[in-house]
Amino acid sequence: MSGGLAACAAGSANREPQDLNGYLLGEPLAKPEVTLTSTDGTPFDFRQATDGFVTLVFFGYTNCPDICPVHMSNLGSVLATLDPRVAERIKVVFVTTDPRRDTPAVVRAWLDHFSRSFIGLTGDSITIARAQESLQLAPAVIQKPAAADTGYAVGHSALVVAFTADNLAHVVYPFGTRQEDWAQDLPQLVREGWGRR
Amino acid sequence: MRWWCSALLGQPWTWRWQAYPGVWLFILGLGLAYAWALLRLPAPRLAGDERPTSAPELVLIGLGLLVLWAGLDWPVGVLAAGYLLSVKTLQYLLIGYIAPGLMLLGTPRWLLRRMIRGRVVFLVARALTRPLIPLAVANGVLVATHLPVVVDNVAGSQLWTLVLDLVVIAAGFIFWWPALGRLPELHPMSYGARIGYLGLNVFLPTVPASFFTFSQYPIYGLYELAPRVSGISAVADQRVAGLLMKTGGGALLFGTMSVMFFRWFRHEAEPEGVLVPSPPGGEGPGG
Repeated sequence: MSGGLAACAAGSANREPQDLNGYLLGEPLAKPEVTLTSTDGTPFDFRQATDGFVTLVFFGYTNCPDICPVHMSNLGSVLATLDPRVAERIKVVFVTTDPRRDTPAVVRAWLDHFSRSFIGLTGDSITIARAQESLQLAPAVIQKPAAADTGYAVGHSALVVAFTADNLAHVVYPFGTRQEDWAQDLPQLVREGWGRR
Repeated sequence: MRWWCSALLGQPWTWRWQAYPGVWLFILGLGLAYAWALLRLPAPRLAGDERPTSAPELVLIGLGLLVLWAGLDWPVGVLAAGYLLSVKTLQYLLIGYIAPGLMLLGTPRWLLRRMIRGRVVFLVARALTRPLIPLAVANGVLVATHLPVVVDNVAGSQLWTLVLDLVVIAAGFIFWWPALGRLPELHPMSYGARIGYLGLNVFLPTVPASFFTFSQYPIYGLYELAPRVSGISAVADQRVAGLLMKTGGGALLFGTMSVMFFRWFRHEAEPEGVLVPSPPGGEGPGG
């Protein structure tokens, strides 16, 4: 990940996919065929609703003390700085790995701290686990809560999976991805010809 | 057991109190050393420009130690080391400016003179207090301790955080010497030159402060990727840090310059023949 005092918001038009700050996947991943529940309570057909958009998917939970809020905060901050024509081509989708506590209302309130444009999804544990498996992510593990105590943690993947306009994920972003990394990569992911080849 | 406040990498911030005995020992050591110097050193034969230790000096040294303690211990020390850049800036003001200034004012002239009695120490003190050297040291330390490569790589180490904190404190003493130093043998300056010196130091830190205020993205990975505290975003935290460095540091220096200006004015307005301390060889600001 790059660092330094100066930050470039626009990214470079001449950058190649291998210059992306995320990890390029050898074999791209297909969008999961899954329908979850959005924060307004309506069904959300993931593939159909995000078709043709750069879609950043992250599995986490709202009580997460570290990784989830940092990823969401960084994405929210960067999207606010991007050219609106770029930003409107990007959807950020947060899928809870803790559906017991993360009701649609809880997820919505939490996401609104970062961006009102973020999409929050919940569903039953089996469907969520299947979605993670289809993206080759380690399934989330709920640590056993103490009796009558809801203060448990959920172990989950720290990767953000980035789908491009071709509805395939060619690159994933680990925890540690900085805002300036996103600012360089997101415009490129939007411009990238993967979806038009 | 953690001895010194450093970044608790990957651990969420908690308001649960934690003990940092290294900080206590450091503050206690400084306080005891001062008390020992006052109580145990043979009563000095005061030179013409020296006075016995005064009550205000005792208050100032006590305040200086309190500020130093507040800046190094939980919660400021830990928040500064790994969570919020704004708190790191506050810490810098506390331990790098306010505490050294108070402690310097609280150290009587006879004790300062004793501290530089050794030949090597005296030569080092003379070299460090030459005009422009304190300016370079203070601002060099300010920049060096804020370089991303430094901040991002040493935060998790208690030892390195301790070293950096001590460097900042030492730089604070060197910084204040031209303005508050009271020994004629160590390059005293006129009131006007002291005010000019402080004025320069108002404007130089504007450069790093501007980076904080105007950077579109967080400069330090440490604070950007740290678990969030109180919901403040990394960029907002960075802007607060920039404003604090500019306004907090500026207010401190402008305040000191104002006091100095009025003392200068009073000194100039005194009718001839009245015994008034003069900065170069005499009392100077802060008495």
